[in-house]
Amino acid sequence: MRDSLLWVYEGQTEFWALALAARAGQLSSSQALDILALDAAAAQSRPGRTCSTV
Amino acid sequence: MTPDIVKIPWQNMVIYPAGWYARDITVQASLRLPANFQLASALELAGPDGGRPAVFMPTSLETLVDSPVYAGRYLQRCDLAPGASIPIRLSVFADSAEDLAVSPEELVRMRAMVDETERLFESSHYKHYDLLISFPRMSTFIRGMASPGNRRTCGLRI
Repeated sequence: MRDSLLWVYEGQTEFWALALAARAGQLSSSQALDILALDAAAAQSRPGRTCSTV
Repeated sequence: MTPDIVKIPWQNMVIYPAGWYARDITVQASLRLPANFQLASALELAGPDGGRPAVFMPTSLETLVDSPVYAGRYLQRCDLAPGASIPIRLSVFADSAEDLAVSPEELVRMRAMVDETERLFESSHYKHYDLLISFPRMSTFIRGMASPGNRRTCGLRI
């Protein structure tokens, strides 16, 4: 697979882990959304994302 | 790693030839653990459980590096899919026996997670699924501080 579309696989893993945790009652919906927002903010602020794709 | 828990990320300890696909390289791993350590992994054992050293079934290098082994002095195993044809197991490692306790409510939520996952994917393309969790007491070993507590799970498939 040579890392092609790695961001899709890894991103889906993170996203669905949170969605499933909320559906199973491990997290509340707002907790899941907060974690997602934190992940998005962290990614947004990382300069590396502008010089290399994953 | 703590005195009572060790994780073996195989990619940090393999040497392999350049220019070949990892999926085409067959390897057979073995592991010598300290006395009284038990292990859990998606890798299947070739020898008896508790064998010294632990010898695993041959796999591709690709599968090996995607199948870490957790080992430790204190291990609790839970069946997350009782009666299912495809086993789904949870292995919990901690630095002490009392940290291992999985409450009935937690078990219900973990099993609900399995149900929700099967509902989402509508398929199960694996022979067994082994979830590995460790609760080291030393906070420096906790990854992902943004996640709730230190309860990150590591799901592994073969």
